[in-house]
Formats: sequence, C-alpha cells, structure tokens
Amino acid sequence: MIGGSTYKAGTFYVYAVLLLVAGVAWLMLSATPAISGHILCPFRKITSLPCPSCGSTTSVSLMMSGQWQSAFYANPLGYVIAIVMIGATFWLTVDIATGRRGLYNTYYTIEDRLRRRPLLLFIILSPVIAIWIWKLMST
Amino acid sequence: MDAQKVDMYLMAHSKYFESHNIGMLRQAMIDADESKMIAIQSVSLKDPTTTLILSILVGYLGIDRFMLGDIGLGIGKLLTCGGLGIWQIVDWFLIMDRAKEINNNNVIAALSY
Repeated sequence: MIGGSTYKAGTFYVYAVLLLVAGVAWLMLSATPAISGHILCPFRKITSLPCPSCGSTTSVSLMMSGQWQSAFYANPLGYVIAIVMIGATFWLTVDIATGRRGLYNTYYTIEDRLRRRPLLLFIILSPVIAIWIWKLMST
Repeated sequence: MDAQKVDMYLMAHSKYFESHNIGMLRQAMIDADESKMIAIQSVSLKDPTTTLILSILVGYLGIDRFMLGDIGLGIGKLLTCGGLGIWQIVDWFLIMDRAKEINNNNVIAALSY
C-alpha cells in the first residue's frame, strides 16, 4: 500500500482491538483502590517530571463522572483520548462486522500525508508540547 | 541489474535489512532494470542501531517511531506515555526488526515504481 511502514490489514486490526481493550482495562483498573494514584509512567519515575499525557487517565475517569472542567484541568488530552477511544470502538466494530477496511485505509492515508508534510505533524504536536510545558511549569 | 553491483550494495548495507529477507531482496534487485539503481540509492534507510538508542533514551515520547515513519504509533506512544511504560519496553525488543522491515518495504516499493 502506501509507504514502507504499513502493516497488513489483519495485523492492524488485531493490534487496534488489543490496544483498545488494554486502554479500557487500564481505565477501569485505575479506578480501583489498588492502582488508584499509583504512578506507572517510567518518565515520571525516573525524572519525577510529568510527561505530556500525565493525568490523562484521571481526566477520562473524571469525564465518566461528568466533571468536564476538572477533566480539562487534569489533562486536556483526555478529551482527545476519549474521542479516539469512543470513535475507534465504533469504527472497529463496523469495519470488522462488514469486512471493510475504512479505519485501516484512513489511518494510513493520514499517516502518509503526515509523513510527507512534517509541518502538519508539527502543528498537531505543538498543542501536546504546549500542554507539557504548562504541566512542567505548574509543578 | 548487474548481480555484482547488487551484491556490493547488499554487503555495504547488510545491517539495514533482516537476514531472512536478503535472498528475496537480492532477487528482486537483480530482476529490476539498471535504471532502478538510482531509485534504490535514494531510498532513505533507517539505521536500526540508532533507532534502538533512541528507543531506549526517549522511547516514551514516541520519537523512535516518529523517526521510522510510524507517525500514528508515535502519536499513540506519546499520548499514552510510552503505553504506560509497557509499550516502551516492548519496543526496545521490536524496534530494530521494525526498522529493518521498513527498510525492506521501502526498497521493494522503490523497485516497483
């Protein structure tokens, strides 16, 4: 297909489903007392500084209990992650049920476009970096 | 293409490709015509060792994946803090083969245009 780094469709969907399941499992586990508040991020452990997605799990959990503003303050990326998780669930279900490859094609088309135009990638990543700087300054 | 030139290329670039693909790659290069030589030389190959070093040092930011061209996975790694640390460690083992696989795919793609 496009470029050298595409996976075969079967592999892609298996990974996508596994990632989604892992994400949901993590979300549910993080609410349990055993894990709650426990820092798993290696970056945080080594440098004791927050990484760009620090607090995003907290953010999504807060969203599930309806606290939209606290969710934003915990980490704005939580919104991105929530949208991706919900969207991916639907899209993966549709794709696997109908045997089409909508997500697969769209994913690699976007990836190809981003690869050709590093400027686009920079535009997408600059909010992430901005959030990171904001987090670093508020510790 | 001239088999000797192909062999020279493969010897000079052996570390960029997975060993089990070399046979197929060699055959594909020999079957292609001479004009493809320039196309192959201009394929940007990712150094597996450099990628591994990146992965170990800054893997949790997804930089290793970005450098390989796996933009989507790179963003995913970045947003999930190295996949909660787990993906980061898994990638230490996967990333060299992934770099070689990408090199292989890129050269084959250059040969088929």
